[in-house]
Amino acid sequence: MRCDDYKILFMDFLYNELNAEDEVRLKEHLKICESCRREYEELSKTSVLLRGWPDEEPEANLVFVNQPSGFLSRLRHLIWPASESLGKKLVAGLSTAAVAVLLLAAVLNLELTRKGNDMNVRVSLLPRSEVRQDIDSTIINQLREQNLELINQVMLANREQQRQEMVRNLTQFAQEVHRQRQNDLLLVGRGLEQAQEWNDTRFQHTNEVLNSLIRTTTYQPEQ
Amino acid sequence: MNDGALIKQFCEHGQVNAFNTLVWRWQKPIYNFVLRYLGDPEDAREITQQTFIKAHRNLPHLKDHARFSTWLYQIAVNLCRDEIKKRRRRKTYSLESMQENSDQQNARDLLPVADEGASPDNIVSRKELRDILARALQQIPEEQREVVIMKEYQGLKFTEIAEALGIPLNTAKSRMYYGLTALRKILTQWQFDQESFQYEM
Repeated sequence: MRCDDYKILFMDFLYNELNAEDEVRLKEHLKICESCRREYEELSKTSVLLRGWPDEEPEANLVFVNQPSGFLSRLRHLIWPASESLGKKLVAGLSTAAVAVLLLAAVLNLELTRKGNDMNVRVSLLPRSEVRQDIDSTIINQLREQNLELINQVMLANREQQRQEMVRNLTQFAQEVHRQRQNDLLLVGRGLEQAQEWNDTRFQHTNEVLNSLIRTTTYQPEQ
Repeated sequence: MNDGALIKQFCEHGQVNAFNTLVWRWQKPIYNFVLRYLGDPEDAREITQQTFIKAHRNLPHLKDHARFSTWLYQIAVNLCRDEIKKRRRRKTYSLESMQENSDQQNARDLLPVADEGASPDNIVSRKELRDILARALQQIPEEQREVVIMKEYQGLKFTEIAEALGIPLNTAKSRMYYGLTALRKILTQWQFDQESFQYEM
């Protein structure tokens, strides 16, 4: 083996990844080849020197938080789970496409008709306004009559309900007026009684004052 | 709980805390990988953040959970490469002006200890050693730098490095060999060797 063949093994030997057999061969060669030995020592020293730069601490710590995802994002995740296999994704994709086609057909009022071998496709953004001609007019009339009858019934019921409600309200109002009147009369009665009492007190007081005055004026000492 | 179980919890049950545990576990290795790759702490923080954001978004698509660490390095490497491309576009002018200088002068200018009279026997501090190594790593080609950092600092096996970088195993080993050789030459050119650092060691 030439020196170049041994140099290939230098890196494995330096980092302890060399198999036992090659290690023995390389060690034997390094004993006898000064050039290779010197080069290996230099590389080894350089490797040791490089380790003089120790790991540094990153100043900031990264923290991830869950952000509430939007409706579309959640829907997408529901339909397309990220970790599913390709087969499941394919199935999910085809299902989504089928649903999308059906939705589109519904929105566009898709109408497929077949006459013999002809297939007709009609699409319209607006719903069909045409009324089929072959609907029996008697059914319509019957439905109309039923409708009218129902409307009449509803109106009568409504009118009766309104009448009952009015009677109830008027009765409540009359009762309220009567109660209020009684209350007022009671208050007036009490007021009159109080006024009478007050007048009596005043009269009594006036009499006392007058009597006292009379007694004072009738007293005339002898001269 | 190992990485695989955490990934499962995150992917199948949407537990963001499981992902945060992965971040807490891998943030420092990824940050240090990017720091040594780009040589700038601010860029390293930014790229580390982007790495985990990408990982958060794409983890459900990772089929083999045992490949998580190499996959994470793969993301970081790609982002670092993009960053270097951006830098090149931004600094075309300054790079051209730098190339006008001789390699010898350029290397001397890059030395953090800009003392013309510095002797080989100078003792450097750990901080100075860090700066010298950071600058030396920036001097070697990216493809070698990636392998050197992954092997020397991240402790990845050559098979893992080959997988993360998508290269053959022997290519990974030869890039490591040439990378170390180039670093040895650069450090010798800067008159810097292990003896210079003996005091601190």
